[in-house]
Amino acid sequence: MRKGQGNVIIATIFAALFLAFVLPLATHLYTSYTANIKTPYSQALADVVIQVAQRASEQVLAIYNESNTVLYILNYRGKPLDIERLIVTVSCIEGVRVASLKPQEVSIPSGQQKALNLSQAVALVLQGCTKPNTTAFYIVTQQGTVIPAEVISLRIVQELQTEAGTGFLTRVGGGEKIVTALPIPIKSADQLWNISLLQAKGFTIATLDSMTSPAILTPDSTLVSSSGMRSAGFSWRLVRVTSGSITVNIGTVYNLWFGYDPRDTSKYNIMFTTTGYSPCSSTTLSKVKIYGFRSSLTQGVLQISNKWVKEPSQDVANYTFKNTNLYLTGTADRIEIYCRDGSGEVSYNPYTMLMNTVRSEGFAGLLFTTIDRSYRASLSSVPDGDTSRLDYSSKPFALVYNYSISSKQYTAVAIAVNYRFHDAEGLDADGVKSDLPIMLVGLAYRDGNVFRVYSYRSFTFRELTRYEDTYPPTAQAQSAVVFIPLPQGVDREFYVFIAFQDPYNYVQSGSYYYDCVDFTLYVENLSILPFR
Amino acid sequence: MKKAQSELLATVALIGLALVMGVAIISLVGSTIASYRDQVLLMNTLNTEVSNTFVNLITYDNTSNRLWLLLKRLDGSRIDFFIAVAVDSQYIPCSNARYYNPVKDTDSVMCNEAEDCPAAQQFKLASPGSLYVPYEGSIVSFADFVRARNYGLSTTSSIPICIVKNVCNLVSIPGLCANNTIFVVSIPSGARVVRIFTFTLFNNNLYLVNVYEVRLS
Repeated sequence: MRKGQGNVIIATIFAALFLAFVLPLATHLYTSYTANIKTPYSQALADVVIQVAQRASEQVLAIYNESNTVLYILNYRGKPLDIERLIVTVSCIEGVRVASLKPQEVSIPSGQQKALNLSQAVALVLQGCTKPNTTAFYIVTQQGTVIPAEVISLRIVQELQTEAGTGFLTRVGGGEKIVTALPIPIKSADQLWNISLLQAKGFTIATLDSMTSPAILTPDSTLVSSSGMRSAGFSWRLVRVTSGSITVNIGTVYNLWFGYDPRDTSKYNIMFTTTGYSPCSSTTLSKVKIYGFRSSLTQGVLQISNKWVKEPSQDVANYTFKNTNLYLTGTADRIEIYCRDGSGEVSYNPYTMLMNTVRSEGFAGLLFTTIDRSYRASLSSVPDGDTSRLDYSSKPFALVYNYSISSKQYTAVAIAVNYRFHDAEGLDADGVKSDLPIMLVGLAYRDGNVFRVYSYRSFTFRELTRYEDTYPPTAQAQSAVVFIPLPQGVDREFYVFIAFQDPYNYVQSGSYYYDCVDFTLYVENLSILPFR
Repeated sequence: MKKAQSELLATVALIGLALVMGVAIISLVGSTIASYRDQVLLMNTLNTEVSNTFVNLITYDNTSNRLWLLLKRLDGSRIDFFIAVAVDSQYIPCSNARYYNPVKDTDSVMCNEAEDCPAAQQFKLASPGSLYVPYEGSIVSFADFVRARNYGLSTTSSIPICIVKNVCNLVSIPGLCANNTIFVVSIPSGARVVRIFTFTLFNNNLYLVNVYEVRLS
C-alpha cells in the first residue's frame, strides 16, 4: 500500500458514514421543520355552520299539527334534508315525556314539501298519557342540526252530538265543531310578557291596510317589537325589568287591571298606572306590569282604597279611574316598569297583557288598553288629563288564526267573539265627530305573502260605547256571532282574523276637543264554528 | 511501532470516533424529531377534534329540569365522548348525565325505562391543572382558561370527566357511523348557564376541544 492510499480510504469511509447516516437525517429534520401543521378542512363542519345560518333564515319550514299528527316539512334550502329522528315533548297529567320518533321517510329533496304521517309512532308515545299536549317538536338531521317545528294545537271544545232520546238530529247542516282561537292555551314555561307569544300559539301577527275599508292583511311582526302605537306626546319606554320580591305602597294609583296568571292561577297578572314610580322621575307617568304575582299576605291579593281584593273581577274596568292608594307585597316572576318619557313609535307590548279574569288555568285572554290616567266629563278637557297622554294606533293589530277552513268542505263559518269594552270618554258617542272601527272580525284567504279580506264585521266606537259606562267604570260583557257564508264553486282556504286598534288621537275645535278616545278592550273568547 | 501500524491504529480510532459521533447525532436528531412529531400530531389531533366534535341543544324541559342535547362526531368514528358539565359555578357529577340507548327503548319515550338511558361513567376526577386547552395559539391549563374566560368556575376543585358512549357503540351499524348521540343532563332548578366541555384524549392527557353554552334565563 502506498502512502496516501490509507488517507483516501479513511476519507472514503468517513464520507460513506456521513452520507449514509447524518445527511439523510439532517435533511429529514429540515423538511420536518419546514412542513407546516396541516389544518384539516372539514366539509361536514362547514355544513353545520351553513345549516345553522339557514335555520336562522328559515329555509326549512316545519309545522306539526297535533290534531292529525302530521308533520309538514317544506325544504327550500338547496339541498336534501336528511332526517335522523324527530324529538317530541308531550305534556301529560302524569308528567312530561320526551320521545324519539323515527319517520318512515327520511330524506326530503330541496324544493319539496312533504307531509309525514306520524300517527303510529305518536300513538305509541301517547299510551297511558292523560290529556296529552305537544309542547315542542324538533327535527334532528343526520348532520346534527336541530330544527324546531311549529306546533299547531287545535282544541275541540265541544262536539255537537245528536240529542239523546229526542230523535232530533242537531247536527244536520249544523256546526261540526267549535275551534277556539282565544283564549289561547298557555304552558307554564310560556313568556307571557311578550305578545309575540301569540305567534307560537297558531296566530300570524299582521296589520290591516285600513280598518274602515279593509282589503289586505300583511304579516308584520314589528307590531310586537317596535311599531304600531303612537302618542301625541311622550311614548312608553321600558326602563326596568326585575323579578323576585316586590312591595308597592303608593298614595295614588290611577288605574289598575288585574287577572289570573294563566300559567298558574294561584298567581296574578297586574298592570297599573301611577306617577313617579321609581326609576321614573317624580312627575313622569308610570306603568307597572307584574306577571306571576303571589301575595305574601293572607288577607288578599292587593289592597286598594284600604280594601283588600281577594280575586280579580270579571269586569276588567272595575279598578279603572281609582285615584286612590294601592298596597301589595309578595313575589313576582317578572316586573316591568315603563316611564312615559320615550319618543317615537312603540310596539303593542306596553298596551297589552295576557291574562284571565276567570280561574281557568292554561288559558289566556287578551287585554289591550290605552287608558293611562283619567276620564273626561266635558268637551273642554281630554281623557287622560292631557293630549300628550292620548295614545293611538298607527297600524291596526291583527291576528290571523292559522286554522284553515276550506270552502270545498264547508258552506259557512260562524265566528263568535266575547269581549268587554270600556272607554275614558265621559261623553261617549257625543265626544267623537267620526265613528271609527275599534275591532274587526272576519275571514281572509291567503294570497302569496299576504291575506286578502273576504268578509268581516266591524265594531265601531259608537256601538261599543253603548254598552259601557265610563264612570262609575263598567265594562259590560258583550258578544257577537258573525255568520259568513263561504263562496261555493271556489276551492279556497279561509282563515279567521280579529283586528283591533285605537283609531283616535284628537281633533281640536276652538276650546273643544273631539275624537280623543282612550279605551280598554278585553277579548275573552274567539271561537270558530264551521258549517258543512 | 511501525509507521503502518500507527496509521492503522489512527484509522481504527477515527472510524470509532466517527461511529460514536454518528450514533450520538442519530439519537439527538431522532429524539428531536420524535418530540416535534408529537407536537405536530397533538396540534393536528386537536385541530381535527375541534372541527370534528360538536354539541347541539335539542330542548330544555323545565318541568323536570332536564336539558336534552346531542353529541356528534363528523368523522363518523366510534370514539366515545369525554365531557364535563358545569351548571353556573359548579361541576355536576357524571351520574346526572345520561345517554340515550335506542336499542333498549321499547316505547319511543326516552329515558323512562330501566335501561334506555345509562348514566355516563366517570372517567376520572381531574384537577383543573391537569387538563389542557389549546388557547390563543398555545396550550394552557384548564384552570387558566376558565379564569381567562371568566366563567366563574372554581380553579381548584376537581372536575368529573364523564364518558358518554358513542351511540355507534350501542347500535351495530356497519361502516362509518353518522348517527347523533343524544344525552340528557339533569340540572338543579333555577340554573342560569349550563356549559358542556368536550375533551379529547391524547397521550393520556385530556385536551379541551369545545365549550357549548346554554343560557336558560
